[in-house]
Amino acid sequence: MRFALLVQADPTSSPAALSALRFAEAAVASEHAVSCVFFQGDGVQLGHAFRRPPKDEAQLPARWAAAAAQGAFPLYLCAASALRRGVLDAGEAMRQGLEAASLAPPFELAGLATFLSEAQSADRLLTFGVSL
Amino acid sequence: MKSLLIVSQSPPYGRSSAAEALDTAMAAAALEMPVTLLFDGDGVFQLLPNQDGTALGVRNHSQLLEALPAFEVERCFVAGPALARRGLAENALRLPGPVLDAAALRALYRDAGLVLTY
Repeated sequence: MRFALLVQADPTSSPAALSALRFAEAAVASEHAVSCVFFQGDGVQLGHAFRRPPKDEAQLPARWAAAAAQGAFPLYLCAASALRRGVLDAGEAMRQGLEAASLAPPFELAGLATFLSEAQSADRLLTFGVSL
Repeated sequence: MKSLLIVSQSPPYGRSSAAEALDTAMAAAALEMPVTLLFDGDGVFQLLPNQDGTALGVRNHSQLLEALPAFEVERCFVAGPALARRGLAENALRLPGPVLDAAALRALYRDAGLVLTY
């Protein structure tokens, strides 16, 4: 089965950010597949290159990068959410007159249209992040 | 093409989820994907009249809701059990579409191609 993942969880304060990663890792290690991952809202903070979590905590970006490389799926940050939160790639930083990009590859900026179009090839879409 | 069910279950203010649900619904409609928007859980608070976001320095959420038909998001539903649990009467709200009972909600989820929760 192919899964598209929508991650809204804040990587600093929500355990759902780790749940999403562990789901993706398990999918890649099984007969299942991940079609794409879209980080939206506070979820995009995961792609900020300047994050420095303590060394003894889970290193989410590196593990996402490894899972994405193994499973050959893209890691999209919602471009609108990312701009609001200061996560800019080189092109966007230049457009805004900023000296440095703050986006950590292999994360990349993408619009909702890209995500929704790619999610069409998935059998299921899972959302991680809204806590009730 | 798979149909999308966007479940908006967050209150209108305090976090960005409610606005993101609308953004996603409008983007899907612009791509001509079949999209349904369901207000469930605390998302039904988005339907209260006389909202004023200015005190919070954010957009008035009900204005965004009223723009939905202009963006061709026309299939909207409201979860009846969520209204009952919060003591909200239908006639006290600006309803964007029909109120569904538990059985109709189950059918909505069953028939959805992909479900996105906000």
